[in-house]
Amino acid sequence: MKRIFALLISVILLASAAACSEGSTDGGSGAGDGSNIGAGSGGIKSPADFAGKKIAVQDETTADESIALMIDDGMDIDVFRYPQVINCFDDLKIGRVDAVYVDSVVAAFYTTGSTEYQRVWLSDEAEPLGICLDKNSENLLAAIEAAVDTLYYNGEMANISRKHFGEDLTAGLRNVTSEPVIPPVSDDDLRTPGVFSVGADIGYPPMEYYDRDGTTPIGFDIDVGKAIADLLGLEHKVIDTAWDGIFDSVERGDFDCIMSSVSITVPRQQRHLLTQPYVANALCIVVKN
Amino acid sequence: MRKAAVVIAAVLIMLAVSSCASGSLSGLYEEDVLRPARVKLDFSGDSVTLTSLKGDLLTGTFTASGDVVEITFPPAEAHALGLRQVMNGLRSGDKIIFEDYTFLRMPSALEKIISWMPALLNASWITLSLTVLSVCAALILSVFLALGKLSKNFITRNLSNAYVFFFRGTPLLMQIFFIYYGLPLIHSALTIQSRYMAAFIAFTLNIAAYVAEIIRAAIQSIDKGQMEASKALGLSYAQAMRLVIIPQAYRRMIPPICNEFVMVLKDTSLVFVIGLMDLTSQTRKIQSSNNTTLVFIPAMALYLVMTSVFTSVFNRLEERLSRYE
Repeated sequence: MKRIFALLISVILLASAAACSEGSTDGGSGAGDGSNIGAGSGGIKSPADFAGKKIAVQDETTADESIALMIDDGMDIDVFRYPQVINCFDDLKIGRVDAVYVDSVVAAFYTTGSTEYQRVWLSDEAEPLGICLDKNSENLLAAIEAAVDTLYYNGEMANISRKHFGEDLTAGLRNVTSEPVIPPVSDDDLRTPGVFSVGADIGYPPMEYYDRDGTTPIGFDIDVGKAIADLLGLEHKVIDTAWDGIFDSVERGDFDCIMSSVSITVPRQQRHLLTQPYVANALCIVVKN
Repeated sequence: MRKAAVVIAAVLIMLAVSSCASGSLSGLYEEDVLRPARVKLDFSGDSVTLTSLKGDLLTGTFTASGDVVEITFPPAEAHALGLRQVMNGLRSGDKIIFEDYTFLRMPSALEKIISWMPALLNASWITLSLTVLSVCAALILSVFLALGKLSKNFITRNLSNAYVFFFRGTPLLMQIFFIYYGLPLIHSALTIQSRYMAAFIAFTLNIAAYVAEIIRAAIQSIDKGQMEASKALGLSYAQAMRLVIIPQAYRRMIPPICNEFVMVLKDTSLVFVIGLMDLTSQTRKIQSSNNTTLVFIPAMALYLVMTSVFTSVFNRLEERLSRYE
């Protein structure tokens, strides 16, 4: 039995040594306790400066794909992927990562009026957000488009944007000159008659997140969803769904649409239905001061 | 081990059969992405030349209308180069022309699974190593905890009791979260840089509490007569424990500890909360990016293989220890 204990101990020692020195970009990197706190932004001014730095992204987002492309190009980036974007900012605060590569709408929440974080770069390529529906929901898509157009027409969209972002991030996205006509939505178009159910990954401030009590969802997407539901004469229901299964859920019919800061990309347009942009967005880098 | 081999063989045969039915050689337009792969396209006239990362060259034709560019390569040549992966961010020279997903050949189920295997094996290495390391470390810690619980010393006994009470009473998920995110908020010196290390510590502390109870029960199940006889022979408490009681307790511990290994193997899926890619998260990532549940078959097979390795090791251990009973 002594042999077995000896074996156990040597296994642990050897493997801990190996694990500690692993330098993979998918977690398991770095060693030691708190040796790199307060590493600071290290002079990151644009994605070109990512080489050799620790960058946090949310898993399965466009920022994640963008960094994956950079790594394929040969850049040596230490990527920290997290299921939720708030974890990325947690790590930035603690000092485990040098920067967060994230959508500008989220960055606005953390950087506006804050002395702790600052945004150092904004991408030229716009990544507008759209509402995502299942391929077979053309009727509902038409109704939602008309509803969003109405919100642009009567200025409600600009109000909601100012409430959550401090400025109108929707200006110029749609040019609506006359009052749109909203086609009626029949019960067949909805999962539950009378209910406009929306899936969102609640944990993405200021688009969708929980209020201080930890149970009420609030945010830009929530308010816009409520406004659309009111225009369609339906009850607004938000269903909290993890981001990495949210597209499967809308295909399966767990809810009518996704309003969860969904960037409009070609692969998503091929697999699902996406509305025209309803709010402007771009990728940006947030560092700690 | 034989059982695992049979399971794998059965799965592979099923897939081989299904792969004969599907799979074609025409250049089909389909969605299926594992990871973006870089290729370079050079357009001139109406022909386009593709250069892959390995330097392979392929010539095809293209038509463009607005933002959509459709490229067609002769399927036989594409197949000969083994270009099955999807291209993202296609470039001509240095300018990104468009983003599109094109499959040059529809892969069969078996080919898809084979293409996923490197990622799955990488992730299962994390799962397996985390399990083995944390249970081994926990075993060492828990021996002290178990003896502490049996101790006559008031402080030792209550400290051990408190430890086991806390770590068994709180969820493992919360413990992982707390050690990774919560500790740095208490004091910045407590920041653990490596996610793997944080997971390892959390698992070790948690498992030690459970295994301590297993060891304590195993020790206490040994006949009181053994301790009395050892004392009668003049052995001290520590000598009696080391030379007589604990060696006999080993055999009683083996089945529950094997159980613990197998349970921890599944519990490692909780590390997704701190962003560590274990087998379950990798599987779900492949499932969501490929829009297919086929990936669960190799993933479950991998779990079964790992489980059967543990059970066979512990079975042999038990056999060896029961030779004298």
